[in-house]
Amino acid sequence: MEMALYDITTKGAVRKRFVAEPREVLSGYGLEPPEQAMLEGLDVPSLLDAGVSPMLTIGLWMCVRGPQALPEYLKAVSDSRGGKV
Amino acid sequence: MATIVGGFLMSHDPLVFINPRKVDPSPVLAAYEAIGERVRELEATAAVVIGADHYILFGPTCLPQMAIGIGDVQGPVDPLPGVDRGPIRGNPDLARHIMDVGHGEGFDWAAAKSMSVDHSIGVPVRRCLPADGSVATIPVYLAAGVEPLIRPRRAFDLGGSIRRAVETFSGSDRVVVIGSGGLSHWVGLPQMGRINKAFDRMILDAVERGDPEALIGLSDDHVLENGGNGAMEIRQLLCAMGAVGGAGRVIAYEPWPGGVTGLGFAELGMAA
Repeated sequence: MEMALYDITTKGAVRKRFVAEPREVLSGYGLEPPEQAMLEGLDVPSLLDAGVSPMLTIGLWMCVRGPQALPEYLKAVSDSRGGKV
Repeated sequence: MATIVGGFLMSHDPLVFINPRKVDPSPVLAAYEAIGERVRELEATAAVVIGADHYILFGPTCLPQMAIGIGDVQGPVDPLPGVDRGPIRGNPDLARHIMDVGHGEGFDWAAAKSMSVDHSIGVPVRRCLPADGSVATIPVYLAAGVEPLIRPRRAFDLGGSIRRAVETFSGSDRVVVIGSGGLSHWVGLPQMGRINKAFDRMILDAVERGDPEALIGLSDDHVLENGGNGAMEIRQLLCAMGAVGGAGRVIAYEPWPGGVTGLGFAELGMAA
């Protein structure tokens, strides 16, 4: 999942394809269906609970929703149990 | 012979520039300007800027403990309002000498012949160094944002290696060392937005005492609990403290309500 997230957050062409056709982009990363669902749905609390780096979860949110969307991110992750470095 | 003439610690919160809550950022921007003024007063010709990657430069396929740019430098790659982007003048000879000395001392630098920096280096460079490029940048990254993290003791010791390298460099550069890292902040975590002023004060007190051991002795679990994952960037502060060596002077502390970070700014004194 971190490889997919890294590509989406740092490579503009991948990001554009992800926004337009997320399932097609994610199909190339060997993800399990629940993992793919988390990424497709921008399910950032579940991604954090799964141990994904919070640098990538916030990066994903800001890339897709825009840099002004921080308040919405904070609301979305408020029920997460944790995360890691 | 080159010499270290000063050092600085500063935060690099991108929200100061994105400012989604529309809070006046002028107290924070003034702190960057104050450091810029001191850099000019010190007549610096080069700056070793120690930043932390945020899963922007380095991906899951390679996560270096310590990396140095020894060639072209550009950035920041992450666009921020009010922070210029583009080529950054480097000093490849000094950078390569720092790398060579480190390799000889057992510090296994990863090297980038072309380095695109993120905001952790881009903000100090664009806000504190002269826009005319008269102060060259040597970009250094220490792993503090993505596991596996460099050990705090190792970061501090690396600063000593940087100092020894500068002091044996054949050029006549006047070098400042900038540790770019936040105080308390929880990046991307549910606690994001919390600022622990007591933790921040403890860090800045240690800086003012010139007491790196007080920071090296903090466990990662303690830092994560009290300062958040972002406070792992005390490694960047420790590396600069190891390079410069003296007690510090706090320039500003801003638990700025527009952001999510305890923003600390300090000048490091030279070792006696």
